[in-house]
Amino acid sequence: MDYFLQQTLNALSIGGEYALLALGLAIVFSVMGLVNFAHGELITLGGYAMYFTLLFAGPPVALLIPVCILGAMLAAVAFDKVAFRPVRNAPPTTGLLTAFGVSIIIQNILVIFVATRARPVPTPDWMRGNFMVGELSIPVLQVLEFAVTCLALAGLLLLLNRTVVGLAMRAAAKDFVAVRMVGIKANRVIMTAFAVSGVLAGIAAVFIISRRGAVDPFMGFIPLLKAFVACVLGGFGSLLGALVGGIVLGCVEVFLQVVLPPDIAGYRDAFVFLLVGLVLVLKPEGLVGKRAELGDKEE
Amino acid sequence: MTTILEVRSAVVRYGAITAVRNVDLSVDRGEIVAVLGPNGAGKTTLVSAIAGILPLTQGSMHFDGQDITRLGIEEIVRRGMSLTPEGRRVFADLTVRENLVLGGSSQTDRALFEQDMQRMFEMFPILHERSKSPAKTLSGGEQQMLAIARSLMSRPRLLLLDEPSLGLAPRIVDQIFRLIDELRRDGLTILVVEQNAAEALAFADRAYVLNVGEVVYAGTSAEVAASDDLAEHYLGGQLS
Repeated sequence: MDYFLQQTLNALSIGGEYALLALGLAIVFSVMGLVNFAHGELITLGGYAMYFTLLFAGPPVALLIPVCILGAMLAAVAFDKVAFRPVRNAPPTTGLLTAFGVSIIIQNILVIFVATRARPVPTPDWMRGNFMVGELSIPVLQVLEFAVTCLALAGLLLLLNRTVVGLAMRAAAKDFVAVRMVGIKANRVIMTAFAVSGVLAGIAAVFIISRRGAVDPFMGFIPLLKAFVACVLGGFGSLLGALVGGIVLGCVEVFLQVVLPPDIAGYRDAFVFLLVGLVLVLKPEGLVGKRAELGDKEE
Repeated sequence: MTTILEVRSAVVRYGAITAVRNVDLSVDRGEIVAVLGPNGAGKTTLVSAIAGILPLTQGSMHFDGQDITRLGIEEIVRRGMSLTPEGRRVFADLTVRENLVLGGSSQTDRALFEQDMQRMFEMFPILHERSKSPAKTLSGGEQQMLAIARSLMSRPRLLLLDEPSLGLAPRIVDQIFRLIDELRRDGLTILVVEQNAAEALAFADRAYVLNVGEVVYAGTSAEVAASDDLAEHYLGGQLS
């Protein structure tokens, strides 16, 4: 029972992390049709923001958490302003290539000016401990991760349903020009989408880094890959799809980790991708995706 | 009467195709002006360019005496010109109320915003009834009303209506045109693009007839309606 509960919690916290990342990717995609392959670098930059703050300003370590989230958000907004805005009206492939370009540039700046090797970033002590519920010892980090994911989701829902810019983002997913026709600035909608994706990536980054205890220039790649897989799994362009895809991906990974015999556990990701392939063959629109999310523009 | 919109020598090109050639058009305050013509005459292109959706290749546009030739859609809406586009383009997944909220998003005064919302619900009781339903669940006529109400939420001084009767049942078309007439009585200036020439001429003050991107005739509605030549060549035959 203990073991089962432990693994469930594990799945939920990993799934939550993937969901946060996938949502960030999906929100930018739904608004401007761009798969931001530099999304992983938001995590990296949030991490390095923590590292540099600690280096130059010192403790307390708990203050690094808002620094990471803010850093990732500012990085996302900067990506939009510097890199994506100039190519906004170009064909989609240009945006895609720009995203790869941003990713490569950020990685190499960090390699050249900081270091190729990982740099340590400490986690606040209270996040690393366990707490007891009856007989069970539960890691604070995992519970916190799941709870924060839920909070972030609630915040996102409020934004999308209760604010003008949130409504505009939902409307823009289908017909951006019509949104501009009511006088809402395209720049504002897109910047908000990037800022939201940055905040979500920053939150995920706090947890990713507290697990690894260090930052390095290429740390964003695997999380990006997971987010992309989660989006594909759930249905690209759909926010619900990103959420479901993230949670499902987390659960499947933990499940495979548990059931696979130790000598083939190393191939876990291969099994995961096999599953994604199956989903794509059997239900190409994703688990909860509707073709309408993307293709049904009003004539 | 003072001129509210003045378009001079407008040319719009898409790549190699010239959709609008050298069009001069003006609208006076308080008028209803119709832009008529057959399918593909460049009517929608012209009105899209006026609204700032498409750039003018050549020519100039002045709204209320100010040059708006190079302004984007968002800025033009904020200056008081609003387009109800062809095909309505309501925000399908959003509720009726949310559509109107976005329509009024340029309004910074909260009290005026609520007042406008109330006014729309009085003008279109059906929208009040369906205020919590997603816009995609509305009928075509209801969506057209929502699209017009959404445009009105930004308090335009000039309303551009692109094919408001397209794809609607005759009974609904009458209703929409009666509404347009009411709006004029409230002091709104309207530029309306229509394929349905007979209906449009019945309430417009003046009309421009477009064919292959050029103005082939401009005059009062009575003059246009009286011309058998225009009717036969550009306006689908019968006008009255």
